Amino acid sequence: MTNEQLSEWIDDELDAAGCAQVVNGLVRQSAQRETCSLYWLIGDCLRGEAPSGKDLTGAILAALADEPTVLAPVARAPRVESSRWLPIAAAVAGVAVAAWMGLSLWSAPLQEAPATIAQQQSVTSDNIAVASAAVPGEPLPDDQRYLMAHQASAMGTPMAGVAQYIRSVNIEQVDRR
Amino acid sequence: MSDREIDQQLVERVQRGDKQAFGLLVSKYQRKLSRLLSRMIRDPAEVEDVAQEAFIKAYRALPSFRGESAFYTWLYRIGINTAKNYLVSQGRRAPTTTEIEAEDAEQYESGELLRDNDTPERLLQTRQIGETVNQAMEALPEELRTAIVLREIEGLSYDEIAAAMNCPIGTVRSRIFRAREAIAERLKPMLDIAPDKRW
Repeated sequence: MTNEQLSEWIDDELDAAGCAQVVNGLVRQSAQRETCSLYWLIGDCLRGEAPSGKDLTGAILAALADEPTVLAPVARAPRVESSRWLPIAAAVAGVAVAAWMGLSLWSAPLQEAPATIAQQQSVTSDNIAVASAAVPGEPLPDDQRYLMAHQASAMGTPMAGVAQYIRSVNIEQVDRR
Repeated sequence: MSDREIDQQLVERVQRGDKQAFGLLVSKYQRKLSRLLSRMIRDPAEVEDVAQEAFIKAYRALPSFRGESAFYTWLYRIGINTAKNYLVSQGRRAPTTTEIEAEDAEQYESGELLRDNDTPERLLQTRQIGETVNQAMEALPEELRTAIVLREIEGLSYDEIAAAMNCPIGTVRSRIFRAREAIAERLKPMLDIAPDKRW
């Protein structure tokens, strides 16, 4: 640090990096502190703030020598410009992920050929018909009972799992009646 | 960086345990604070004691300083409260806040009261410092004198001084620095501090 930089620092004409450099120099070097005090004194004299009495700095620092060192949480650093966009970017990313997942769920059955879907539906209908046909008087096989019990949770549609709640509401309504 | 930002930088250093940074704040504001206190307390020795107490209180309170106001405004408030408490403890009337406001501290005229009550030794030193600065100013080349007057008395920025003096900003920077150096050279012998008294 040069005295010219110190002079600039006193006049608030240095940038942040320069200020940090000067402050680092000041806290380390006694000679620089004296020069700084002298520059401040000159300014005070020119403004008519006559120096009075002795320099209190040494006495105050001596008095503070016995004081516990001040340690406080560091104030938050000012936010950098880019951090302003982070919440927006996060929101956009969240929406994009949700949209992608939604689309993939909805489009999964549609991506299959209509013929395949029709075949599956017919197969399902056949099974139901077979199951229905097998009902009278005889208990269902274990695998079919399992399927019947968990039909609402099956991944047949993107709304899987929702149907059971709808059914529950209906049951509640029926119970109220 | 503005004056307030520079002070905040020093405050944060103190808050991280750097006492020398607090010494810089003391060195910067001791005369302004003393000038303020001298409007409440006439005895210069008492002003010194109260100023010292105010700085120590400020140091202790620094962990709670969050920079909502400028450091000097906060310091002056502490100074005024310290002075009031001191006057009350001495059985004297403290001025009301309307008489002295911390925010108006920068507006006060020079410390006439303080000079009226100074000891002869201090008056002599004060007068000598003032005269030395004046002599050094008169000895300065015109462009250096103008530059430092525009900066220190008129409070212009380097940009404004460059425009007023019709010269590059680098020249302004150099002129102000050279003016300070020239005045400081004359002042140094008067203020020579013993090595053991340095901070």
